[in-house]
Amino acid sequence: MGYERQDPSRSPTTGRMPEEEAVTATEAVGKDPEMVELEQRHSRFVWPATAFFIVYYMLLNILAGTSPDLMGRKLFGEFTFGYLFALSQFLMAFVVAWIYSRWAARRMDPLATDLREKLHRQQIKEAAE
Amino acid sequence: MSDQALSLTLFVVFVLLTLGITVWASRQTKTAADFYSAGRRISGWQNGVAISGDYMSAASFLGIAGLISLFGYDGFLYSVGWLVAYLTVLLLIAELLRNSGKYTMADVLAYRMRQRPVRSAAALSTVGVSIVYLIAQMVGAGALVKLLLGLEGDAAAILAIAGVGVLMIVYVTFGGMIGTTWVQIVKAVLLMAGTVLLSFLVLTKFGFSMNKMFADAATASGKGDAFLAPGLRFTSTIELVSLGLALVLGTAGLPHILIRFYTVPTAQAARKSVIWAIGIIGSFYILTTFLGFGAAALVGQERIKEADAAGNMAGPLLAQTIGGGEGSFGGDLFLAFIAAVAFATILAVVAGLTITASSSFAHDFYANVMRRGQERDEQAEVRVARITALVIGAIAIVLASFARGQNVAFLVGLAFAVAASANLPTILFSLYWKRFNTNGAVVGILVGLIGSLLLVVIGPNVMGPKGLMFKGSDPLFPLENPGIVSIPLGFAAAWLGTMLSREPASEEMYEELRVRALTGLGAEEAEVAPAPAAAPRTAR
Repeated sequence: MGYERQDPSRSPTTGRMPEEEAVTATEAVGKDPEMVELEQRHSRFVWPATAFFIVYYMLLNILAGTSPDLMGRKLFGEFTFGYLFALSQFLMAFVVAWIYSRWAARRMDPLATDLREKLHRQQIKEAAE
Repeated sequence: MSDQALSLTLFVVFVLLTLGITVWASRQTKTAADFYSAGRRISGWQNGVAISGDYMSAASFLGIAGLISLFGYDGFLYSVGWLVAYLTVLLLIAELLRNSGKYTMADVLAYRMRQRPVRSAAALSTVGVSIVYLIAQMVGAGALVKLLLGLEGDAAAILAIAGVGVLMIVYVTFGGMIGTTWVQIVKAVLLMAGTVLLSFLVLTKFGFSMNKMFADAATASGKGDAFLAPGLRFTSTIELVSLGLALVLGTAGLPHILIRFYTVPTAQAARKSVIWAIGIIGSFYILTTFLGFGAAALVGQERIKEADAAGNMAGPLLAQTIGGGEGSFGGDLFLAFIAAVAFATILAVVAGLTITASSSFAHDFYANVMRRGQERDEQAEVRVARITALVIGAIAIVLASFARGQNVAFLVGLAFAVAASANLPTILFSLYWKRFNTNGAVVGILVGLIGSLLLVVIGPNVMGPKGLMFKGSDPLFPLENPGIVSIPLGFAAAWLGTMLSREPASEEMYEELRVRALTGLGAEEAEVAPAPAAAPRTAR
């Protein structure tokens, strides 16, 4: 088996080295309106979502340091506010993961597949010329 | 002596079983792609279970239960951080990484940068993070085997640590990634089953009332309501924030978790595997409540500290107490079962870490740096990986014998800080920052790696009255976990290193990397299309 096919720096599609690939791919692909749309959708979701969960999570650590009394306040029986807040972090993680996977399947996957197929055809055509 | 004989028998049975799986799997390992990434034939849910197996280490099972049993609420903060960390992986890393790399963490960097420097730096930090992580596992294994066999003294603990080291080398040398993946899956199922069973039995002891469990734990701890609130382990807000940052950002920089995404065929499968992992790992960490508070109430801190000063034996002792107590048949049986589960847990994590570090050294350093330009010799590469596993195992064994007596969750927390400081900045920048270049990547990795390790060494756990050395002087750095300083330092170094040089090639390649990462162009078809794009597959 040819080892050069496994070289991760070589494009698996064309077998070319990145330097050669960059010329065709960057020019043609980077400016593609569908690609721009894909990038925008991605960053408009993942960065706000990341900011949200990090703030929500760090709030737990900050409150644990600054307000142990509040965290130790019992809300139901022996369940303290701190423990329930910690449990809510699990719920938050499950919900964010679920929303993301639904969003990605609906908003990212079809566009990504579409674009990939289009670019793939384009590359085959270029390689033939 | 009967309990020792029983636990030993169960132990041997389990070890033989897992070794059997490994030998079977070794027959499936034919090519380098098989050795490193299981031929990319692992499905999404299988990989999710394997990620859980890779992730839930001695720190989760032994360390967190111990911290909760000794310090109450503060121990549970580890559980929260280690789960929430998967959102970083899910949202920012997993899918893009799957599409832009092949075998190791460094592939993503090497895609748009100069191979030699970035691969060397990444191999160094992969080995560094893995060794810190391994130390913690070895400490846990040592304590466990010591308890199980009723051994006394330091020499026994060191022998136990060395024994695990030898087993680990057998695992990695014969099994490769397929063997490791299956060991992870078997272990994850065992660990979940053991934890659910133990939690259920704890609840029966309190008439299924969590209120009673919390109340009894608070009373038994002697701290009262303070046991259910923060403050017994951590009193400084800065320390808490530092630990929190390390935990939530560290996972996304752990090489042994990142390379798991190369074992699946598509980005969608990578996403699915994180979702599975979040479900499994989240359920497990919620259950640590029962292990920790249950042990505090039922076993008592005196007995826990007697077995291991850092609390690492709280879970196994809880099993013994619930089974009927020390000396009873039920107690011995359940102790042996839970100890075997813990042992499997450690062994699987050790295998995952070792294969990652040895792959990185063989692929990134040996094949791409030392033998650059020469014809690739797969056999030699796999041989180098196996020798590396040996060396890394030996280093971890030696260092672990110094770290005995530390809580394993705490030790793993340090590995997370190193991973977040050295690896995360370069991974994020190379996926999301066009201007980023080789200089920035190398400087970022080195400053993050050396900075975080150095801050641990001059911190209170190594230096000063509570540490290992220079007990007469105060530590130079006040925080136990260096995250709050070392993580920003890693990002700043990567940024500064980038701004001090220009590399047009890296900027030009950025567009292509983004296209490939977001659409899966090239990467995704590697498995489906035949020549010339196909990654090697075995004939079977």
